[in-house]
Amino acid sequence: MPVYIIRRLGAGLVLALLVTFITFLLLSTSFEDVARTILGPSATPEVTEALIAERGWDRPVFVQYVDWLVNAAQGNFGVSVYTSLPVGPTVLQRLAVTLSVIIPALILTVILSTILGVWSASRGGAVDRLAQGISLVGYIVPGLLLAIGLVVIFAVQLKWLPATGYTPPGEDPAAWARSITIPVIVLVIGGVANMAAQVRGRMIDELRRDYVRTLRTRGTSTTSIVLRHALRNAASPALTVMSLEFIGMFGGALIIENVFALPGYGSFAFNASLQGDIPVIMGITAFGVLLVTGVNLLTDLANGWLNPKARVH
Amino acid sequence: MEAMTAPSTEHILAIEDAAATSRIPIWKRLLKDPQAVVTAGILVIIFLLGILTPFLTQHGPNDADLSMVNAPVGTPGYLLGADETGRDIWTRLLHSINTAAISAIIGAGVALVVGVIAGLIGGYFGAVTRASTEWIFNLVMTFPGILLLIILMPVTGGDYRFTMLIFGVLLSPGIYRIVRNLVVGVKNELFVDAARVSGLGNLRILRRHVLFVVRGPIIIAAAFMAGSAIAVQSGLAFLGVGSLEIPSFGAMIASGFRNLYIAPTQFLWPSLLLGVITASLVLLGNALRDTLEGSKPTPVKVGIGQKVAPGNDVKARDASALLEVTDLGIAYRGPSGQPREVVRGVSLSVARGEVVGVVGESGSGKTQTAFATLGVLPAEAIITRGSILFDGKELVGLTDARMRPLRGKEIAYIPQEPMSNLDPSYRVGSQLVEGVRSALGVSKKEAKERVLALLERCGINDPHRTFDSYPHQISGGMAQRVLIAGAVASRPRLLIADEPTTALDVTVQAEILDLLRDLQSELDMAMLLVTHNFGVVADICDRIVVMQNGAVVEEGPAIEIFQNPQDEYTRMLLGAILDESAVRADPPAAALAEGVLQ
Amino acid sequence: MSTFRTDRRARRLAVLPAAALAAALAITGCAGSPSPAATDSAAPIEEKDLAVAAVSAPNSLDPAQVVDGQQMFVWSSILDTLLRKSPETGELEPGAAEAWEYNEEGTELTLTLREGMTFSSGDPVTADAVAATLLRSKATPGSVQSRLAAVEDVVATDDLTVVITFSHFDPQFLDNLAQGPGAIGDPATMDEERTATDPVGSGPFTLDVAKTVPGSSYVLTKRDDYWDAENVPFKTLTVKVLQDPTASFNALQAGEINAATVQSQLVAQLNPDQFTITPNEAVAVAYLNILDRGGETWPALGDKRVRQAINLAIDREGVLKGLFSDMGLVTTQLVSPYGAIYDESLNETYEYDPEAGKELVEEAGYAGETFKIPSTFLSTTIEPVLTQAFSDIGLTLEWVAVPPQQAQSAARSGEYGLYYQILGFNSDSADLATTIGPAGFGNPRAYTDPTLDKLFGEIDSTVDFEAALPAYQELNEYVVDEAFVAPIVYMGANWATGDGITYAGKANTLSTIRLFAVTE
Repeated sequence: MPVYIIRRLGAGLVLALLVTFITFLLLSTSFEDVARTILGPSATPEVTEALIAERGWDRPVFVQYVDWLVNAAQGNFGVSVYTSLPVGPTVLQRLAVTLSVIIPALILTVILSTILGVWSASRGGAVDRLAQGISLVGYIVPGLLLAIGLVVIFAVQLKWLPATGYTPPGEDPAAWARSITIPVIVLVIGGVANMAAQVRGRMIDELRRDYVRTLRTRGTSTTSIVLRHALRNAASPALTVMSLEFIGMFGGALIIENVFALPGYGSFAFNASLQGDIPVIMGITAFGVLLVTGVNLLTDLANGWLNPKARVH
Repeated sequence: MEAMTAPSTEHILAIEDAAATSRIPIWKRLLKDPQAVVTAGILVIIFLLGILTPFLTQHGPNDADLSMVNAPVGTPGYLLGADETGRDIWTRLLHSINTAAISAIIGAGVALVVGVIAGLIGGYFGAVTRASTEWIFNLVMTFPGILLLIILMPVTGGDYRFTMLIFGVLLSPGIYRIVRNLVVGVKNELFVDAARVSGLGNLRILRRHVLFVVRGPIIIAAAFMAGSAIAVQSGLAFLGVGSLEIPSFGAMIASGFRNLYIAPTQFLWPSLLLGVITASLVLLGNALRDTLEGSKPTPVKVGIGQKVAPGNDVKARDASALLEVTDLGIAYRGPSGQPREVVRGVSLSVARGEVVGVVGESGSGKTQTAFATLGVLPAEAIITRGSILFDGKELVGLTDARMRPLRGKEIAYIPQEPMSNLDPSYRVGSQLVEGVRSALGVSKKEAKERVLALLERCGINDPHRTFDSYPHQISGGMAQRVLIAGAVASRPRLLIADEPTTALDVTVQAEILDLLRDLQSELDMAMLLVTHNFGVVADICDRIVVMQNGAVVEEGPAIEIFQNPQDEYTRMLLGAILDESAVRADPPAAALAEGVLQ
Repeated sequence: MSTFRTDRRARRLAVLPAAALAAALAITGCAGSPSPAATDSAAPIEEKDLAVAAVSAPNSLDPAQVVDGQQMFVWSSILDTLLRKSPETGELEPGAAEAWEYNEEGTELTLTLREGMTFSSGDPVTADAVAATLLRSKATPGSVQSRLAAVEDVVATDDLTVVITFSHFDPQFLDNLAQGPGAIGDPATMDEERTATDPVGSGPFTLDVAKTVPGSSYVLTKRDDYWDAENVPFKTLTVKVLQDPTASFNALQAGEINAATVQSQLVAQLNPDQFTITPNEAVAVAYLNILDRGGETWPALGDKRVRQAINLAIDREGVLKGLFSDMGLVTTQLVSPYGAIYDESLNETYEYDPEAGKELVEEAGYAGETFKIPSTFLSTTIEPVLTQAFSDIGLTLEWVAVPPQQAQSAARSGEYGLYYQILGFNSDSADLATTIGPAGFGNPRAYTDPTLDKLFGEIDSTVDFEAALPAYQELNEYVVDEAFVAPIVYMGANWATGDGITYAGKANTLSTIRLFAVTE
């Protein structure tokens, strides 16, 4: 088992290496633009060149990349060219914000999708049509519209929830919960629409399997059949969907973070990309690859736990 | 092992339906599916509007009339009003449809081309090629999608078509996976081997045979990818990445969002249309999946009990037998709609301690009769008439809840295919313990002891090890012993065994039959043995019921049937045993046939 | 319903020559300008918590890297500037330097610092600190560097006197001292890493690092030992970065911020009991910059008639009403309408007349010409209007998407003859120079002609602004007549403030806390 995990993490590192190198290669064309942006509109070409030389951006790309890599390997991801904020700690800080929104959203999505999916797969009929309808509405209703509606009601009118901003959970858990409520709701609506359908489909498949019939002939209760047996077997494929949903939520979070002014990973990455803040983009890319690798690894491990056949030895 | 299993009635019905429908072209089948028709209709109308844009609009997408800024809905010449810069929203919506369509075509198209080609290569050629394509696509998957598109803005120049091209590549791993898996599966199939033998080149094989097989899943995936391409293009445009000259849903939503408090409808139109398009694509994808890959059954309430047709007034023949089935009729409402009767007035009885064999080919209705007795007919089935008396108690019309006390405790069941009848996620022992506890209501410890003893009794050498094994860790024969142990754990009075040996190896078959026979006499159970093989019933059954096409054709003591079969069909079935041994030299049949002939 | 701020309480510091002012202050012993509190009401005003929305996050807080614009809210509250500008009139006022004086040629500037100022570390603010900061900024590649180009040396002649020598007179330099170049760093810590994110300054606030999330929200706490503390009526200052106007409006309504600009149409939705609305009709000028005025690459743009035609083609009233909700003023000029150079009558030069424009283009023989123009986030809303305007006079505009990080380069790349720009007002001396002057960034091809040479020559050699004013006015008129650029509108802004806070910016809208006052 540990060997397996180490091998997977190793593969993740190789991947991170490649992805960051390609990203660096792509970014290397824009050093001059970055220098100009730092210096402001009135800078002369000589000053621009001086800055490029000072930062070492005129060295061969490969040398610069190796330089970055050696520093990154020691945990030093450099500083933002615009704000001089240290990239590593800032990325982690921003990641924490996004995760503190995404993880509750994911947990709620999973719970609600499971309830909705299991409910509609094991009840059928009107219940099923209702649940399907809920999913469809989730698809069609624009998340942003919902977000603004909630803000107007709960933040502007009732003043129960904040309209913008973020409080870290360590500072004030209640304020944190309030600050993420609306973003979480918006993410959950979109997520449930997608995932409930998956859970439903898997559950329908499972409930028609032979072993379910055999369990019934042994007098096993309906609850146990649905929740203990069918759901457990449906969970393993649903888990893969969940990991994709999780990575997908980073994309959704980008828009949410912009609208709610949350200091998250997505808006950080977005702004850095727009400005061409090279060290920040590199740091974000590296962390992003490791994050995806980690999520996939966790998914596989959880899959092994749920599905004995897929267990790694 | 799966291949050896005789198809059940449900399978046969499904296959018949599929055969009937597969002669109909896909599009005709799709036309019968309301979900496909409605969603495809919506999409066709929407995209047709897009194509007809020049005829439906009086303005250009970027024509700005400053006097029309934020014009309300219904302003003459501005059907849906005008936006924050005085551009006609109706016109821009139509142009946005085209942008979405082009995004979908480019995004899904590139993903398809890249994914299919790589999938064919990765799946068809050797391990080294596969490993390297695999690695490349893992790499592609890891790229942070939207972020990459934003970083690449200077490269793409903000042209959404270029962006969608890259996004297509990012989408391709999904297609690659599907195609590769299908190709690996198809590759070893006979017709590809045959093609290879007949000297067709690799390319032609790929094109002719493999592509044909993988087209279904690809069409489905394309619908979903078109949806994501549109969503991503809109997302990027919403964030203001890319050319602002291009009318798109994202740009319109962004503009509407800026103006949300001033003119909320500006936000509503593009959002709704985008929502309808993406939802339609997803639903159409689902409908396509149903049509191309066989429809997903609609769910039914679990534990609702078997459906019984109204007006059933059949009276039991005789209340003294342990099981008395009288004039039982079972019908299926197949996917084609009309109910078809698969069991037509079957009557049979099993006395206490008696072993009755029900013999018939696949589709004769024997398994359905057994299921009806257990109360586990699938949801599509309906009992049209008849009575099932168990120990004087009418089972037809019982709810699941009232049926449950009988199951496991009074009536037990041994299935045909041992592997699929064990829950793969739980250890063997815990499944059996759960059954024992729900049937007998004993403590966990007691149940475990009982199960271990039973496993040993059922011929398992190391019961503790089996107890702690997962189903996939034990052999088929062992699994069948486990299931037998599970069935007899509560000392049932009636054991229904549905082809208990069909899926097993020859040597194991005989052992299992021996075990069943021993258990039967030990526990003094009545047994209903359902099989297509006369050989199996030969030396275990007291009486035999022969079924064909859902009806009983002959019935009588085992010896009589064997020695003097009356019905043509019975004779044919008996003859089949001989044929099998003679022609195929099928060992189990041969061995048993010998037994019969003795 | 909107309350128009009256000017009654505005700081009425007499505009005195620097030396006289210094003398007056010495006599009265009063450091700094009289506070609104002291002059207007007897009861002491309760200090408020100001929470203001900013569109962009500050980048580095290093004095050599600071950027003006809304980023200034944060850094100007931590770092003191040598000079200030009156929000009302835009006149220069004493800051950390209580007096300033040029020599006759304008090549030597003597600054006299206020006594008793301290950094938040407790160290005194000395002439050495000022000299060190200026010399460091001059030597460090960064956003401030180019504005110190004319500086030759900076010397502290005593504890409170700084003498700056120049290679030539820089008419914009004094104004710059109220902005980034005027920021004073702490020499003891200036070269440490913390300077970029949490510098030691001598300004009215210190950064509360624990409560600040860089890039998102900045919390600052007032320094009671700040020399002008009595004129800072805010306990804390929170700057929230809200890029989205809808988010900003929501935050304002929800009470999360108490000062923000609001779109005109939304003003009516704010509760008048809760918010004070202060409109400012001109905070920036939106104009179509003609980069190739000499017609080097696009001969059409070198033709005065074509440039005038472009000016005639733009429906300024329509743009103002349609795109800017009538919040602002139409204009054909670049200079601030609150300044001395502005001449309202010039605005009649180019009344909307696309027909006349079309004729001019045809007459010049350039009908059918196509021009590429960068499409940036600033130009989003106006693009269709400009496209339309060009096609009305027989020309074609082709917008080319330019990513934000290339926006700066695009204007200078030489690939484009036109560029849409929105520029906040700086000062009368700077506003024309940046776009028209041969070294201005708005004139990347360094276009000039004999008239421009003559007028700029006069301006650059006249140290006293009043004396140079006629030259400025002539220059302004010449620019309008030659149609070197196509100004469209002065953009206005509605500031909504709550919790008894009011907005005081008019001629000067440099983003400092001095734009806000407390009235109740």
